[in-house]
Amino acid sequence: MKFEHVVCPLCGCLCDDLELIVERNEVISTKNACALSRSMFLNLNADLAKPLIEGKETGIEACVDKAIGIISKADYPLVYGLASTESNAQRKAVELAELLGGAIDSTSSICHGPTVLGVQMMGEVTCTLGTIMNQADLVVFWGSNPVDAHPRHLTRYSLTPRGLFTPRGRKGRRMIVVDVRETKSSKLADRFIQLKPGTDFEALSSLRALIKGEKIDIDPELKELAEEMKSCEFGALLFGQGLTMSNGKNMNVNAALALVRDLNQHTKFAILPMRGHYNVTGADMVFTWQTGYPFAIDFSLGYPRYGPGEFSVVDLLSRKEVDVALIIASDPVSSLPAQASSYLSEIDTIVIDPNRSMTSEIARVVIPTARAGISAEGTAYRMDGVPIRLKKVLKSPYPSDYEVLCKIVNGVIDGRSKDS
Amino acid sequence: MSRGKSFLSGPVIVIVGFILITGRTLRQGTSLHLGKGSDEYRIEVTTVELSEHSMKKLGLREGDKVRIKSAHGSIKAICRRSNLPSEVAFMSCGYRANLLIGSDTEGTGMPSSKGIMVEITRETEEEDEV
Ligand code: SF4
Repeated sequence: MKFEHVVCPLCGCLCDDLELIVERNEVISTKNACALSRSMFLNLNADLAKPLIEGKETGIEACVDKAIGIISKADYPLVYGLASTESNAQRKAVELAELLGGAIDSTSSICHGPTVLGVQMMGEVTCTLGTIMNQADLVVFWGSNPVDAHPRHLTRYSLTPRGLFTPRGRKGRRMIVVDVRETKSSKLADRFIQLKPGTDFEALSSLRALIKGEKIDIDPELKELAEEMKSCEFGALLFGQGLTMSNGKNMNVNAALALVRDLNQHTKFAILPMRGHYNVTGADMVFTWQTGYPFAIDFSLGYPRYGPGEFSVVDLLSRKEVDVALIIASDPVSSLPAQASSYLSEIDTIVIDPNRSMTSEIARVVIPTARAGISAEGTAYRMDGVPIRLKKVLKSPYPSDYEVLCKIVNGVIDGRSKDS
Repeated sequence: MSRGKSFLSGPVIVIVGFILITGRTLRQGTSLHLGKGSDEYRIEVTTVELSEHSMKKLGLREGDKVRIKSAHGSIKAICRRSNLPSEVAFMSCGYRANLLIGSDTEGTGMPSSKGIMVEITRETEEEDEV
């Protein structure tokens, strides 16, 4: 059976033009998928999770009941992950964290959390990927390597496509890469500016000074870049974790946001973070519309409090402040600093995930689910904030993340009404 | 000729340590779907890239084992040549590199995953697998 216009639930590009051939509930071929996406679709069954309690296989109902039992007794549980699931599940997870008086955080805190902090401080001049495709004649990738991390970004949105005001496609567009190392993306660029590690803030601030007309004694390459940015018709600064994870973090992002704001006194310029997981933008959106805050939220006082550095996953775990962790569609044992993630094996960790992971290996309870965007429908938000409806193309024997979270929420409420 | 204040990368002659950058690679992204226990994934997240200059200086050939130490941990890795500045080492994001990263987020929630000061030496212990 052929499925058309399938959305790829993998990276923040959320490409919605995939074609899949499905036979006997398995994807046997893909069209328009990049290497990352193809590898995902063709290996969907490679490492599936099983319902486990204390490492022993059991039924999914028993796992959900066990999870309800553990979580109901928790003093201060953490709900974490959620960037690789759809937005209804994210919404339900917020409800659960509030009900439990716990903390909730998404993988946003370890990818573009500093971007959110920067935007909250500075505001942002932004646009959609469609605007970049239709209007941008200059794209600057800063601390970002789309060829490896977002393989179709250049061909679908930012470099080669022809748009309304960009009829010449690649020929009418300049690409600049600023990074600390040569990458596959820098090799495609018309200009590559290689910075010393940890000097993004200084370089961005110097560009601001140059754009304001200050005479500063600086690398000629930066002077030329400033001129090029000022003189384009429509520019886009697309930045990655090279800014958010390096020395300076949110201050680097502040400097980039301020640079783009300043550039708008000369031309049109927009800035956009290159978000990684396919629905990490959705996590920020859903958390914000539910609580007022995008990540690192605490409900222990009965109302939401915001605290990056305090209620964010790495800080809560490394300070050993939570007693139960509910991990949804994420693998913190693999993706967090070991100093933080090692605590997960000391406490009751519950994993809700379609796939086996390093976290499911140490978890007390593993609840397998239908993978959102493949075996369950839902909505995800593209890196530019555009919501896109995900399709269901395969059947799964397991419920969706949303359904499992509904059962847990109902189980906790039922347990409390029985106790009272 | 003076270049004035410079933030651009240039040649570094003396190696006193390395600045470790972690990031995504296509190979890490594709092998992830084979499972994190798969050989492809394990090898990719256990590989450190170094410049030709640094490899020579440390007496390394591609595939040799190295020991990487940071203030937070120590790991073994396999080295691969790459076009990097001599002071920079690069590793794929993953559980190996995460042993070298500290948990201080400086009040942001974000650990410092890029720009970690490390020492890299040739690994001499042969016993266990990398
Ligand atoms: S670029 Fe991202 S969303 Fe598009 S096909 Fe590749 S992995 Fe999927």
